[in-house]
Amino acid sequence: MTRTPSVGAALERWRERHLRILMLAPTLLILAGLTLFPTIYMFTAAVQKVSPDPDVPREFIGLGNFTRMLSDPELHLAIKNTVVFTSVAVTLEFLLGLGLALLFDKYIHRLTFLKTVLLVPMMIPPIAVALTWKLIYQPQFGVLNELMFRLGLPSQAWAGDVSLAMATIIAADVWEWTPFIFLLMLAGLASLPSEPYEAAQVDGASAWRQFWDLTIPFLKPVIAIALLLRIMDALRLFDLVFILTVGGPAGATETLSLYIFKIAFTFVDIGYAAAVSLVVLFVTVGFSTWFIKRLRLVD
Amino acid sequence: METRPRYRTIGGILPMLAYLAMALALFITVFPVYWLAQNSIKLDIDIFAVPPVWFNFSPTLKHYEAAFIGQPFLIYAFNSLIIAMATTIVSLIFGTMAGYALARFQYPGRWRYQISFWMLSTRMMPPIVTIIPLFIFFNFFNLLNTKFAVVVAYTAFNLPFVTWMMKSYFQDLPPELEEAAMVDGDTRWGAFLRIALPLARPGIAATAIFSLILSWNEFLLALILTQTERSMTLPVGISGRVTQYTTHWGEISAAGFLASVPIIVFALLVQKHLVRGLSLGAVKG
Amino acid sequence: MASVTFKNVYKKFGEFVAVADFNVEIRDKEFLVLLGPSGCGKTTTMRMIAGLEEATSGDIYIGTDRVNGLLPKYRDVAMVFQSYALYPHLTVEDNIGYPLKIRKIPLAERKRRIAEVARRVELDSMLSRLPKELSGGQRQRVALARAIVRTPRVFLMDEPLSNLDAKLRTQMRAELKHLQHELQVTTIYVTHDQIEAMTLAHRVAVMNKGMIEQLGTPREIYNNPRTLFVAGFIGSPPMNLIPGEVRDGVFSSGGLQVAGVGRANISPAVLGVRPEDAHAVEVDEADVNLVAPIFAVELTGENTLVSVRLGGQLMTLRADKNFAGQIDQQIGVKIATDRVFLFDGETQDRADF
Repeated sequence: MTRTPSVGAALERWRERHLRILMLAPTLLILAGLTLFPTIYMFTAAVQKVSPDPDVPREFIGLGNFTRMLSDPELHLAIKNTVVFTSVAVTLEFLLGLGLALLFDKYIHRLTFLKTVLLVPMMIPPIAVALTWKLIYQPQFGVLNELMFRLGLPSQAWAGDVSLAMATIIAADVWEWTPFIFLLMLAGLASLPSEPYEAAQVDGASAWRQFWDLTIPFLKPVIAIALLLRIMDALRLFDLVFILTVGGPAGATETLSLYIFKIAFTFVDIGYAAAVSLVVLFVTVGFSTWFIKRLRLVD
Repeated sequence: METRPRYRTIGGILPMLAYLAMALALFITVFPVYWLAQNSIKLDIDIFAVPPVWFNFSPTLKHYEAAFIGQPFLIYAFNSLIIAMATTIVSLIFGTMAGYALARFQYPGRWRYQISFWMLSTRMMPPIVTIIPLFIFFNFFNLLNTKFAVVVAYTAFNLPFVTWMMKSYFQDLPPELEEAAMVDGDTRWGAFLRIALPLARPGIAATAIFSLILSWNEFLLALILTQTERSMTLPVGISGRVTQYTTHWGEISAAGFLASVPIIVFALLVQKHLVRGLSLGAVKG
Repeated sequence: MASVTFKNVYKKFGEFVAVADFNVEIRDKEFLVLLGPSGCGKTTTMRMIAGLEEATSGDIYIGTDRVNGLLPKYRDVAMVFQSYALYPHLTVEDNIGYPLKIRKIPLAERKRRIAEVARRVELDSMLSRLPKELSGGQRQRVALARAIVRTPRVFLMDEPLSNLDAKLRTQMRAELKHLQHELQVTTIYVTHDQIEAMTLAHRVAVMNKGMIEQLGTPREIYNNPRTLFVAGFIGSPPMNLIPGEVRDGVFSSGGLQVAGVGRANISPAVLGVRPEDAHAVEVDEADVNLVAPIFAVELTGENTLVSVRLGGQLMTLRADKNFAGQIDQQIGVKIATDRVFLFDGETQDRADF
């Protein structure tokens, strides 16, 4: 076989040699742009006082923006709201989703239609979800107050009521995302091997024991990934509150995302917004890193 | 078996409970969407009626006409469509290559692991924390209120998802196929184009549809990057109408419902890949 | 047509040494089998010839060309994979024609050669089918056809028969041997099946832990195993390897005594006895090497395998198919002393030369 060195062959050789870098490079560059540049920018902005007026020079204030967080009641409320929302909503979604999946997996065999219908809440635009629930919660002509009336209960302001607003957001989120847990659990249940159950039955284990000793351990990886994704999504909640309550009434539903949005674009306090963002970034990424490592999601 | 009678009673109640729960779940899932659709074809007088008009109303298309002819919802929808398609094309080209590289190649040390890990972390990061620098950046280059800026931001946020999905699909293909192609006279790049890509076609299609849905639905980034009537996406346009003092319920219901229809169609198309898409390839449904 | 030469080739995956100091010259037109247990480095060796793995150090030559760093496409080798690696989205015709298409052979020529090869492997009626519509044996023949459609310099075969059922495997083995004889192309064949190695090869390289234990004709490997590993790996049922010691030319282990094994004193030593070289006899026969109780009797059809207890292990002998002993019955064992192998227990090498 003859090999004459040519430009084409040299190029081909170079491409093949570096292919593993070349194929990855565009994605890495874009992701570096998405993560490194903003992080560096935020580190610089967070230690400065940035005026809304671009002509006013920035002023170095050291950790001022960070110490300010300690004495910012609105931030503390936003953190509390986000934590309450995330823990309650995800717990409800998980219990409902897993419960329904267990029930359906065992007793209902033609689930295709149900699965199809359940796609709808989580796939349609979150804005449409928020709009739908706004219609239902509407105090004057909304369907929910009609239901209250039929049940002989007093009508409520729902999203406009300080004590009910968070519950309305949680209810809408549970409606939107319980199908997510349900479908993942159903997929997990469908992939369970049958032999261990047959062995357990031969060994005389009760249905309850089988659930705790076999089903839960087998489902663990699926449960973990489902919870991780739901928790991370719940922590960033924005769309539902923005439409249903705009964080109100009296900050009762203001989440961290919404508060950062307000600092940055309503108060135009970029330095403080950057400082809060950085803290949120490190806490969320730190948590997910710990979780992903424990799960061994990355091979 | 002595436990039999006990099981029989439970066995009788649980299936009934299951069917009841299923009926309830179906109703709760369907009713809000049905109500949205119904409101979009009701006259205002029926929308505001107390008690609500359940069935007995005369349907009208005037809200659709008002939203898409009287109001610029058609422009918003067009913006959303262009942005979703451009984002999907760009992130699929880059993400497919990156996914293939991570599925097939060895990297020195723990690089492969570190890169995969970093991508997953990016997916976990709340978008609000990076939006301020992006806003300042696009503002600096006078790119606010352009589709270009939104496509760049969406591509960046979609790439980890696309890469992870494609990595999972390529890992399902036996590597010997490309090796056979290379021994048969192809290069690695040729084997990727001629063997791996055609075989991953169902995965590529599913990932593309997921990317379309994500981009079409996205709200927060678009809210910050598009503020003019000409550049707004559909979710931003709808939200602007909801928070106004007088809400045109009929019109926004029409817009909201129409924004959901293509997504429902798309979601049905990817039904088989749904669980994998929702779990970033971790659960193969 | 070409030879393949390895010179001091090492292949490491991180800390793991897959192939160590590999030196071999595979002659032109030779059928060489790399034989060894899984993980012994035989597949890695083959993949280095194909260019799918790069040697960590050392040189590999095909003919006179040094091929280190050369892309697989320029090496002019063809490979049959264990899984066949048929392109699932292409028809049989396009699968076979793929190497020609990549080399931009004109369509008419391509068609002619595909038809010729398909006839040879009896696939001419299947050309428009997809791989999933074929049986296992047919898929195997497509993989073979794709390899022979362009006479390459070297054929590489990675356990090509292991996914076939036993009957088809025997048949394909004969066809492969015939085909290689007819095409006269240097062939390197990887397997863990010693029968395949014995029946197909001109020479066999027995590999273990990344190194060649012994390279020789099947007859040499069988009749004259150089190491304990080769002795235990070749032969079915496997050779009895009995640990013991040699004192004054007499090997002893438990109740077993074998005189005249060669060197005077070796400790520890291992005696290798093939089952067909150990015979069941009456207990009181003269010069029995061992008297022991029967552990199990297994009739294989053409003969009977009898295992007897010897210390903590079992010793297998091949007896006549009409052997009538019962479990726990005492029998005598007589060993063909001129056909035993003696190994040094420390170095694991042969000690009776």
